[in-house]
Amino acid sequence: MKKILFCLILLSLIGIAGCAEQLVRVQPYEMEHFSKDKMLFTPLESRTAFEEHIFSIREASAGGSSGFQGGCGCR
Amino acid sequence: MTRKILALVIACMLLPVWQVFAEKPRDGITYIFDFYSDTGNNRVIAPAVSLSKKLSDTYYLGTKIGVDAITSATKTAQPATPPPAGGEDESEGGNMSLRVPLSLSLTYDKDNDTVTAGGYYSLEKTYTGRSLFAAYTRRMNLNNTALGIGFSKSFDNCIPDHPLPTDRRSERSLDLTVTQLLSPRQSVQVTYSALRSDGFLAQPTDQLVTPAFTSYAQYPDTRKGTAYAVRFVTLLNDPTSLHLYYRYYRDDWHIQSDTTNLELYRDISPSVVLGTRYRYYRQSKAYFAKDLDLYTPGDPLIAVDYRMYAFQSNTIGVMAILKPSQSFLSKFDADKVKLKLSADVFTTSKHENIQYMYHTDRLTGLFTTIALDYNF
Repeated sequence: MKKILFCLILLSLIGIAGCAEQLVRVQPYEMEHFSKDKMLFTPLESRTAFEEHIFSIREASAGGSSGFQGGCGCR
Repeated sequence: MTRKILALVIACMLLPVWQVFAEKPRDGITYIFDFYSDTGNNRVIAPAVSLSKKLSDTYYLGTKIGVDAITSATKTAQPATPPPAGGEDESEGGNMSLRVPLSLSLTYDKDNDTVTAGGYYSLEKTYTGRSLFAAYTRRMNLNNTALGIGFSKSFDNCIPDHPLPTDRRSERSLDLTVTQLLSPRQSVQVTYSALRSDGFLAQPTDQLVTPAFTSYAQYPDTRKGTAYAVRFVTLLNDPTSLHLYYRYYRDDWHIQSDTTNLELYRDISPSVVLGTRYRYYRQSKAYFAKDLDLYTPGDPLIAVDYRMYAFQSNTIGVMAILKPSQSFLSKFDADKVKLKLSADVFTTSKHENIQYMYHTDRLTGLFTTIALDYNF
């Protein structure tokens, strides 16, 4: 499993590096929409932090949120 | 003691979460007021202040401090059947405790690189929580792509009122994130998380009481989980955006889950954004989870908590982002202030273990957040 993950990460990095031109999908002067709250991945940061902990307490799953947490026994 | 442990479970929601996204660090302060209440007689009132202060062109100091007022049900040994009709349930009661959690972090941000490292500490009579975390984000391709990697590790100690195989709990998580802009109106984020836990993983207060025997819950000493998630944001038309999220999770306790979330945001006016959400969650049971009346004294692993069993839950909510007008905030720059409000209600499916633990057939909860952002 670790080897598969390592290969996936390596391939992703190679792909990102090799496809740099193709990955420039939006020019700087076209990014105005992404500055708006409603286009952020977490428009309400405090709520996201709060609910992720609530769901980690009330459910058996965690992760997948690109958030780092610890120091508690909520799981 | 029992109250403390249960309060601890609820108090976890007050810990910091450090996001790794493509955005630059903030230079501002946020006043937060969180509230949580559920039909299991748990309630949390948590005001907090979060500060991210720019120290120089490249360094930011982050800190979050709050006061957690936690009221939780006190559970003692319970019968496997609900109390008789009309009988008073003496195992529940409202007890309040206070704690002051503190987190500190330092962020280095220069050009396309951002590094954050920090720690969290809280101390209670029966529990010590400590964690360290670090994250690195690299932006590339004219800010079209961002790669993030983060690691966190906690070192907790519990002092229970009965012997445990160990009083230590350690949790580690590794998160890998790729964020990519797809078009001037669409972006996507893919996340992989590896989670490892060891130590006392069952809640020390969970107890199975049957006519034949009484035993505390016992889980395996270690747990390994992985999560794969994807987020997608698109601008449907100029005033409305759609957020989609899906996560698949599995672990070596044979728990698998699917989480889907859908959110819509819409500009109502230049100063008001309204949103609504629906979230669906379902999970399978752990391999050692059995019907409560099937456990025997010889079972090495015993689960009482409904989270080790198959169930599903639904959540609905509303959100608002308000930007006060200059006339309303005459002494402040209105462009630097935002008020963010949200209210969500979740409800689980019916489950006999919820009935056993909380004396209600399903858990229903409300959580709200009020956050006032001020950018320096």
